[in-house]
Amino acid sequence: MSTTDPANAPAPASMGHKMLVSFGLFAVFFVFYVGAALVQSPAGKDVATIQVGGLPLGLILSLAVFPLSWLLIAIWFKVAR
Amino acid sequence: MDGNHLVVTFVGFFVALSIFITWWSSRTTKSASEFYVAGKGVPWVQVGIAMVGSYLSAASFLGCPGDIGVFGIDSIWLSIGFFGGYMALLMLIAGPLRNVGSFTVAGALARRFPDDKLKLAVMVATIIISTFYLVPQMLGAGLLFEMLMGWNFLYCTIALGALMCFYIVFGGMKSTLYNQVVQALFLWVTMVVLTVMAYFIVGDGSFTGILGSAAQTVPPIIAGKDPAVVAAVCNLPAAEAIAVARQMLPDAPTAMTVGVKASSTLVMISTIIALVFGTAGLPHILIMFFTVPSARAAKKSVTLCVVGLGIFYLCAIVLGFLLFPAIYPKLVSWISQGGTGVGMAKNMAVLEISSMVGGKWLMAIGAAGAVAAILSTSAGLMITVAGTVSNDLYKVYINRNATEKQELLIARVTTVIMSVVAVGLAVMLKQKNIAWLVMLGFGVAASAIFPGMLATLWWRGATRQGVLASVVTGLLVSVVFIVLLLTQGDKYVFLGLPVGGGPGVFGVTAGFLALFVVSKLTSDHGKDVDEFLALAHKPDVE
Repeated sequence: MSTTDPANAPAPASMGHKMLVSFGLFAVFFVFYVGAALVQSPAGKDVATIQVGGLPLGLILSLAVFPLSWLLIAIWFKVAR
Repeated sequence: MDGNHLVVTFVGFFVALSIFITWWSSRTTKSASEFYVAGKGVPWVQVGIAMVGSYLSAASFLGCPGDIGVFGIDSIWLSIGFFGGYMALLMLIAGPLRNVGSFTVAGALARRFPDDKLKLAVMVATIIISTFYLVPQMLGAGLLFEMLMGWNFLYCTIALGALMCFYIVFGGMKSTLYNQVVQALFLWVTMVVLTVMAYFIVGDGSFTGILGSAAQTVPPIIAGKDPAVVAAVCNLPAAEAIAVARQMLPDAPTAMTVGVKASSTLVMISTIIALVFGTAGLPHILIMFFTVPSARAAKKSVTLCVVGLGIFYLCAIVLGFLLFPAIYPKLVSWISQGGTGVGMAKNMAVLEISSMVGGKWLMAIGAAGAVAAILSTSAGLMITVAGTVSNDLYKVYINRNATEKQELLIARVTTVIMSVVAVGLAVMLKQKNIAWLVMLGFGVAASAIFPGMLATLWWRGATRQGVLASVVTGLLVSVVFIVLLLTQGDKYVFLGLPVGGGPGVFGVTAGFLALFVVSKLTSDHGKDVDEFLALAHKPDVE
């Protein structure tokens, strides 16, 4: 019978790696997602209107959420088995 | 054939197809496993497409482009928010949940923490979330036919409720999945074809040209409130109307101005937090992972769904901006009619542009697409509620020795009751905004389900009491915010916090805090926690 405190017991071998990759990639997505939303909010109004290549930066960052997500998913499938 | 007859023909085709699919799949729906999770052997491609159908409601198909057409660029985050929700679901929830789940969300949590109180709390949260999501679907269907065809709202809503009830009672999850696949494909193709056609016919194939037009446009929500502008632009072609409105209101913001709709950053962040974490807590999406044979298949189905949704919502954004050069005078005219007109603009703009670029045929297809969205989402919600009442209430509190036959009977009776309740609430809440009601469902899901679910699947230190506390706290905070919103309005400030963005950021924070603090103070880490975590995170196999 194990006497280890369940809260401090080691994680199953595959779980530590999965946790690192899954939470790490989700954190990248989440920071970008909330950051882009902040830029496109009243607080980031001045930054959002900066023109980059003829388009407002706020719009570019907001739309970039789509390809970034697909890229992160591709990475996640490669490394989080 | 005129427009109305075409709409009736297309919608009738969908109803007939749904009935056929139900009859066909009911022949093999005998056991509880087949009723709730289609026997757990559905191919991932089918589930991925069905997930698109379950997620895309009328709010996505009509509301996302329509909102941009009313407010301008502020509304693009409605589409992006809906899309972003799937990332948390895919990376943090899908695989482990498939490995430990059975029929319901409460069942998955109970595998680690076998506690009737926890099951009850999750069941209550599931019913509240599903109701907030289901009522706007019924409401949307009734309004769509009332606005488009002039039909009676009550009869249309009752007819949809009866159809839903029929195909779940007789076909269960299998018929729901097949119907969702057909409806999702139809809806998705309609959105893509409509956007491509409008992009070349109205937008001349130039994205910068479309945005240039938006940068000149006075947002309809502003122009439509100025009677002089309304009178001047209503009978003009769209391009001329945009120029005239700008001349008359030279200092007004444009459709590319940030802040026309979202006046508070905290309200906006609360909304997108609800969307990103709420999706990962939506019971009708979570139970779909139990229908595939493995965790790997669950992940692949979500990935297919994410790609499909990404393309759909990108189209929704482009289509929203195309509304200005296509139907600006109509948008302004709708807004000038006050609150009801704003609703018309948001919900009818997509059908109006369909009619413009593809004639009555495309408009009828668009209307049928909206009905398809409503049908597929409602079906997923109803079967979720039926499953949780039968499994987590009846079998736990009323009849622990229930036979499979009794269990299925309860699930079917629940479906009938839920249909009646949803139709009744839809009639009562007819004046409320559809997308707003859906958002409240996301807020409750993010607050009450997501923290506890995440901790159960990943955190060894989580305790039974901690997870229960997070569900109850998240639920209470959400309900308080929703009651304040419904009674005090969206400008109300509670304890210094604006309630306008819904419970999202506040409920999620409260849920995680309760989870962490109570888990640190208690020690019941669950039944066989090592075994549970090893099962949840076992290496993927095909």
